[in-house]
Amino acid sequence: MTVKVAIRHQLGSFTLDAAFESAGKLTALFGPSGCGKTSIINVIAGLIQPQEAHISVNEEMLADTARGSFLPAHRRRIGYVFQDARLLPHLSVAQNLAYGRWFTPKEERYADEKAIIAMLGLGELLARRPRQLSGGEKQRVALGRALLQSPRLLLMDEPLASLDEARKQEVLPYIERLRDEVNIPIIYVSHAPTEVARLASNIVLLKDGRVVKAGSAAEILPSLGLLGDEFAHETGSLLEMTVVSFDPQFGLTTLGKRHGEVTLWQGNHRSLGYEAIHQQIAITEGPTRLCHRQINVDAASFARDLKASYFFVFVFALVSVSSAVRCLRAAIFAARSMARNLEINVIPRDVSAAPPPFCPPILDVTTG
Amino acid sequence: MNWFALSLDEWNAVRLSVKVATWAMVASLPVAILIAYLLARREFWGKTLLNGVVHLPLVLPPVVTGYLLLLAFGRRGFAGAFLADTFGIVFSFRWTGAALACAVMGFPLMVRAMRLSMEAVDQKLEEAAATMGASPFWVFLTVTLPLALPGIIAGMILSFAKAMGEFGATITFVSNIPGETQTLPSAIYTYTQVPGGDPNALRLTAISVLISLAALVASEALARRVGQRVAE
Repeated sequence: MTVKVAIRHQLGSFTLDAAFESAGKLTALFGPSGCGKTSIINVIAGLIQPQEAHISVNEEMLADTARGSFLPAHRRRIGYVFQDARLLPHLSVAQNLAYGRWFTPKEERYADEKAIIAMLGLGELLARRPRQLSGGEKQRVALGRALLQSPRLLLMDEPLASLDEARKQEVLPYIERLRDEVNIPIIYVSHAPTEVARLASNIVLLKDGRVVKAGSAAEILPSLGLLGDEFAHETGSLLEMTVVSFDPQFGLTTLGKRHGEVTLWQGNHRSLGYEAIHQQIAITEGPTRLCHRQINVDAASFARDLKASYFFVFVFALVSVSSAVRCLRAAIFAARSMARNLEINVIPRDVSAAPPPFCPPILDVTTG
Repeated sequence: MNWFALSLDEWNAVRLSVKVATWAMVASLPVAILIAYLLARREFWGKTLLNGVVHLPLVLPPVVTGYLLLLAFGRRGFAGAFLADTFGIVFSFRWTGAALACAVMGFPLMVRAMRLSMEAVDQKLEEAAATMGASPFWVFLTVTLPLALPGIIAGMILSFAKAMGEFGATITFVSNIPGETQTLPSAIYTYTQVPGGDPNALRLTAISVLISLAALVASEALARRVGQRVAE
């Protein structure tokens, strides 16, 4: 699964000159508003015809302006989930879902209708009209609609941006499932670091129409500051740990990483060692998989451990747990600029007591 | 006199008017949809000119339009002669000519209503349909047209109502022949010109009001139903 994109487009005084390649499952285009994120995916979708473009998905050429080829949008078979859902208001949910499928040539239809409807929980919505759906439901239908056209690539333009927090939490798990269970590359536009941290396998940082840096999520998240000072407080560290065990009775999750050591990397420079971080974590178990809640890092104890007057607040860390790979992903964002350029080494408290190859760094669990 | 017993001429005028107006509306519909679409969604050379030509009957005196039609579609007119020789279609002094005059006069109203409603269709929805594999033709057929339906219906009714009332261009082009080209307005005009014709004129006026009113009410109801269906 490789997506190759190179675009050059002049729009008034704005120049879009971006090239990136992605082999990851979900590539996030991240940057401030007006950096050209949406323009890039509109070019990939074929909705904007740029002056120069070279776009291929899995070696299939979609646009190569050097050779004068530019497939129109309707012949690209690219699923597009818009920020504002854009369901066809005169059609029912079932008809909306069937729309793209109908235009897909028979031999290229791979999408399993029943499985997708079940995966996105759309069964009960089929007879409804778009106006009878909540914002979250609309986005789920939009996801289903894009998948049912058997796309070769899925584009998502801030699909959660127009939803409130509760609706976001409703839709996010579906996007994660889609990423883990559907075998097509996804390009995801966002300006929310938490979303990107939670979903992305690769990140492309964009600023003023140019690629600032691109790479794996763990590599790029600490570098969000490259986009400018307003992003400095949003730099994050990505921490992936294996779920070693889960006790539903007490809601206890045990996480481990080889050698019981977790390194959070935050920018560069100074290195500080810590005995432990107390984290409050609430993880509840869903029917088939572990779900996600926010981790609140115990700021007080963290500051105490610093033995200095530095004041740290970790705003939040979003966690997602995928039962399939038994892996927990946490992104920790530092709220204050103090946390900039800081390397944090977290050494779990009980290294000796815990049997290798893991060590539980997380205690103090609040139950539902 | 009996208010409900129409004379043969009166009855013919009513029937002819409805027939002429219906044909004018139906025949201009596909062309109007096409032109409304071009004006609403496409950029091309001569767009302003096309827009001007479409609106011309609205600003010209009807007599001028009728006379131009006579010049073009009369037996000796370039288009009239061609159509009569090749397809056997004759317009001059026939009810078909009345339909043509009504279609031309109602055309700007029809196109205008349709164009406005097509422009009001969210282009983002059309883009979404395109990403799902719909070619421009299918986008038009499955998204633009259904969503613009209230405006299309409004345009049809406007054209019908205009045709029911068209007088100047019709009488100039195809004259006022009872049973062939004498529509309701022409008949009313004729009755006002003869002594003792007032009751007939009044009766036809009432019928004219009724038909136009019924068409308007029906279109409102229809447009509202469709509008509710397509509203988000």
